Amino acid sequence: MEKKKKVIEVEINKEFCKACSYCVDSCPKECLVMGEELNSTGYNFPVFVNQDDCTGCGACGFLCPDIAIEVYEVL
Amino acid sequence: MRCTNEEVISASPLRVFCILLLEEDVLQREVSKGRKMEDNNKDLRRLISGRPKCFMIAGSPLCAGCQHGTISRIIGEVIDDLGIVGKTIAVGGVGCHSMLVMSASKFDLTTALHGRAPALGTGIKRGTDGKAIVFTLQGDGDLAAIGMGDLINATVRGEKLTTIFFNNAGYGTTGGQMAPTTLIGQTTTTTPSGRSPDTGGFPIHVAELMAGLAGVAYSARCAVNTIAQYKRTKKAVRTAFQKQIDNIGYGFVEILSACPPLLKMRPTDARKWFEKHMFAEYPLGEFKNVDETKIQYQVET
Amino acid sequence: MVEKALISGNEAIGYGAIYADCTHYFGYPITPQNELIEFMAREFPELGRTFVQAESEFASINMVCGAALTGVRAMTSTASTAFSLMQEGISGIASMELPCVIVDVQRGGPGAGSTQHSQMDYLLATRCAHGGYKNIVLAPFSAQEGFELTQLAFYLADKYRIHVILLSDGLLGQMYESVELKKLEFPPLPGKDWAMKGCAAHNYERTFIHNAPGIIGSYYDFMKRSKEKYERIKEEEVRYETYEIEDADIVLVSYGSTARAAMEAMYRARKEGIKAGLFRPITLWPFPREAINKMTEDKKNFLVVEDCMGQMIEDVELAVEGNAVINLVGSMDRNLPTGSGMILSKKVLEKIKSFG
Repeated sequence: MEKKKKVIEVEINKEFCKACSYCVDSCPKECLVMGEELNSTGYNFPVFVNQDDCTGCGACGFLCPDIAIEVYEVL
Repeated sequence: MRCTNEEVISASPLRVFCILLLEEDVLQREVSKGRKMEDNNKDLRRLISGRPKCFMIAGSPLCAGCQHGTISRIIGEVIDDLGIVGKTIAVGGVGCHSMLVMSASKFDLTTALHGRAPALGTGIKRGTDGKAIVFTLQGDGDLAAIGMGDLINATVRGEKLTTIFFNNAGYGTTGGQMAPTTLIGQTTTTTPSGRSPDTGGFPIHVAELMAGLAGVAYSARCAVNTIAQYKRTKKAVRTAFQKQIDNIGYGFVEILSACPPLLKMRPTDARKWFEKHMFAEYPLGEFKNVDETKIQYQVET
Repeated sequence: MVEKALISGNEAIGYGAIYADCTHYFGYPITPQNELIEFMAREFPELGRTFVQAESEFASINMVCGAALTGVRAMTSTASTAFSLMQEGISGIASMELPCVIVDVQRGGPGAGSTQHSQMDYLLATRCAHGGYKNIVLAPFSAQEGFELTQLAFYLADKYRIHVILLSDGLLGQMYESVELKKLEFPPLPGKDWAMKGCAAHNYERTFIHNAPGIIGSYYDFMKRSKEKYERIKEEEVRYETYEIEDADIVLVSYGSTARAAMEAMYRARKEGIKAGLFRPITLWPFPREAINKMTEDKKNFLVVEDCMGQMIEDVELAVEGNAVINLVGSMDRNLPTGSGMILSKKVLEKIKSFG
């Protein structure tokens, strides 16, 4: 039986982000990249680009120092 | 003096303009309903990582890349897991370390004078007849310099408290001066040519020191650079709280926390610097984990 | 029947704390208040109350702060040298507006000074540490009054949400007197709904009491609230006693144990035909300034008796507004100008006679 693939949602609160890029560093599957767009305080925030590879390990959400990332598994 | 969360954020010393970012009604709802608020989408999706339930939706007043934020969230997650938000009282020392907890926590919180958090915690613990779960948030200036006596004597007195020690190898709030934990050779604003043992002394290893004290039930040093370290840290913080809940003894966790402005580096470089230098000076690990505090000798009376 | 006991002034304060339902005591040994911490160590655990010997006065005052945060009646006691140590903690308590009682059994200074009696902390107690806050200062002059003022101190602390300093001294603390042990009745107090007991106690709304009114929240509100509180205390809580004041030509002003020497001198002067009277402030802050000012209408001679180089005399000078002559009987007039000396009534009488 084929294992059902988990659907993961990564919500990035761009206004809380301070562009430390710890999330990009910590992602084992390189699903996040730092974007070009700036938030209202002048930081460029990460963008979730690779939903297919994301395993939902939650590392980006765990290591984000600004609590700007939330990782959800869609049930 | 009681004040609303908005006031806290708007007036935080680091002046991050997170007040503009708050969704007013969301915040109000969170505050009023507190812990009882359930995730609206609970049935539809499961939170893997993100904001702990005992934190309000608020921006962090800390600098970019400051790992204090990650540690604060670990504390929040542990409090959620243990289900003690209703009886937890946090005592923040002087420094950056308690800022995120101050602006976001839903549990009770107070601030201590510089270095006096364990003494204040003692008062709170005794004042509530030991019913409250009291933990102190302290930085290396607060704990290892001015407050060393308070910490050691609190453990000697057999207090059942928990201390989370944020070690960032310098004074962050005051602008990057030398702390007792600063590495030999490290440049700070008060050691412009690097800390020298002749004039500046030696780094202090608090977790090892705490392990040698009779009243301490748990002592560990952790970090939050990688996800593996994160999980070990969470376990350590949880154990340190558990020692207090089980009334065994003092729980102590030292956590290495990179401070990019102190090192004048980009966040990722600061993290690498920590891995290279701090981990060499301060080995990670568990130094003490006992289930009862020992009495070595007793005079018959 | 009222219970009577022969106890020292220090123990009287301890009994006062017990009768005032103080439940938490934190202290550190220092002469001459040791009888008090020893009394508390004996009595408090037996009554199921909390006694903690701290490692320093830094710690004991911060423990009081922590306990007061949770809404219990907490106190500490110390003597001059360590009262200085406590100042930062007391300032912290003032910023959090916590009710508690701090007993200062004065000894000689500066520095380690002497272990004997003195009254050299007047300015420190009434003018306070950094930050421009105020605190109520009560000064007993007998063991009985020490017992009663301790109960009053806890009531005032809770009434105004302020810390109260009980300014005793070495002589008073070590002196044994018969004390009537009786619980005083006070009007009902408002509940401590601000107390920190975990957010479950407040329907999961967090309580945040902090010591940085200038960083967090509105500094203006804090200052306004403090000022209103201080004004109210100044209006309502001034306490003093007068003896033979109506027809007096010369008014002695004295507090604490020295007031006893002054009182004896006053009565001896009266026997010799000199019309002397005694004015004894009980609250050193708020100082009975108006009462003294009113006396200057017909009394022009004031003699301040205090065992220091002149501290309360500053308040008296402010009160008389230049309308009277003020002289001092101070530490230089001790019977022996050494650590063990004290002001005797004989010397005060001499000064009364030579006034002018």
